[in-house]
Amino acid sequence: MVREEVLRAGGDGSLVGIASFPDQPARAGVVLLNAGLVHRVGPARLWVALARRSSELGLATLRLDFSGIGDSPETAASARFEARAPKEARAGMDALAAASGVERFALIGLCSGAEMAFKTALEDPRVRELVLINSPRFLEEPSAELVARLEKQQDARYYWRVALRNPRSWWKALRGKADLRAMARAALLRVRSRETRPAGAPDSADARAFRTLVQRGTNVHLVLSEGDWGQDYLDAILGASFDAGGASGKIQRTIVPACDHLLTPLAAQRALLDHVERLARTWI
Amino acid sequence: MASERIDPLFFGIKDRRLFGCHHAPSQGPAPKLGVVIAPAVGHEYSRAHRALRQLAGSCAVAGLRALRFDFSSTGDSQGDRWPESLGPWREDLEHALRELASRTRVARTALLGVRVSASLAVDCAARNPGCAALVLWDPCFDGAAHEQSLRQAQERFEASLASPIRRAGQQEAGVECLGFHWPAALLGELREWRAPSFEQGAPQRVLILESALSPRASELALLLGKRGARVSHEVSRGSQPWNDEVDQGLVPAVDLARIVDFLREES
Repeated sequence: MVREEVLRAGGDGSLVGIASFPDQPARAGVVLLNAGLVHRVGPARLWVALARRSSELGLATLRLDFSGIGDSPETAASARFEARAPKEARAGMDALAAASGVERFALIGLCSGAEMAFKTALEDPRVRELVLINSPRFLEEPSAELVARLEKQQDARYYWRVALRNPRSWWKALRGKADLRAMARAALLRVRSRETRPAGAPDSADARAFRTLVQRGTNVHLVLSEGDWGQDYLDAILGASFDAGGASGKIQRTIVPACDHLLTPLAAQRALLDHVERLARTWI
Repeated sequence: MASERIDPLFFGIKDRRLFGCHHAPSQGPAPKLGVVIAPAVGHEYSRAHRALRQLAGSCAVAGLRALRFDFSSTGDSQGDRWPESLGPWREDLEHALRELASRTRVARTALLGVRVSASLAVDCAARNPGCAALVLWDPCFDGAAHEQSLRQAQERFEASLASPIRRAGQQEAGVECLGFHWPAALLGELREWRAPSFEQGAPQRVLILESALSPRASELALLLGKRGARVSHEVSRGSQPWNDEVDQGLVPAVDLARIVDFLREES
């Protein structure tokens, strides 16, 4: 039976979270971070289901609201979100450790929450497992050139997977209401990108950060929605070696089909829950 | 400047613990009026969360007590599967009303329902004639139209995906809409929902805020007027946060201010 309680974190206790505790002493802690501005229940209440399932396996979990999100009030600190969020995530880990006695953690984040989980893990060696879902970036702000290239690939993917297979698009094209040239360019780019493997950017700060985590023994589980921007971005920074099971299998990638950035469809939610449950069984 | 004090907690009965958040003024005299804020459900819950959080805070700053809570199997409350009928959610609202009254000892209580929970707030107000005020924010009194809008929203969403959703095995009866399963029986009850007769008495004051005035809400306004309530049926001036993704929605400050002013008059 899982027990749930409000757990306050941070020096002044202003950060609000909901902790789930197993009925036996917890083996490790899991902290779930806000997905963008969605408060601690997660997109379509996914974090609630993930927390409860993890606690049923013997893990203490915390669904934490960063300051200014959900029930955690705005902070008076002037630090930017990117700078203060990892500190707040660590405060959440401290509170969960004090409440349950756990010493090692898994961090789970989606979108900006994944980015913050990555940054937190670099600062705190207690993080042994990372589940990063559709992270839009990691340490670095992608260059304008890279963003432009990735956006083209996104367009190509859209035309290839959606527009070119939709009769309505062809009808619009015949009536001159769709950009046929753009569709053709996109299709060509799609074909070319399938023939060439990205080399990656091994000297980038992102790639170095991934290596730091791997050398420290942290497992990084990347979860990507089919067609999400993060797929191309990962290829761009980690390159083809990533696909070859680089970093001794410490970095693993899973694609969830037929879903959006927030894994909205019920089928996608079930796929994520099952995936994280398989991972969580190795954390206890 | 006055500010708020917030106290998140669990309340309710065994096997149905509800999450709630009390908002109170941080200083000044003890509030005389407390309002229970019932949230939207489904995908509209998260989209409206920030607006309702700010509404509760604004109530506290204005010298009122507010209790936001989550229905069972929604938000942080206990339960994972939505009920097959509106009954359990009606009971949750009653629990919230009792929680507010017992914890705060306010002299008068008010109810606020948003979208689907507006129907539940109407039912609750009819069973609790001592309820001083009722606020119904963009209610979904036409259950058939609401179900249709859920189906359309899901169709539009699925059309935007890179590949079609594969649904394995037998599907539960009902509607999948933007990450939530609406059981068929629950939708059936919403289709059949009609406002109660308020024979035991009506709230003294009622505010109905709608994005466009609807015949069902107008009928209710007429009925409540006949029962002695002072009813204000108005078109909302702000955006509807439940129509936009969480990261894109705007908090309709003008509508929050209208609701707080309405409740403050009651206090």
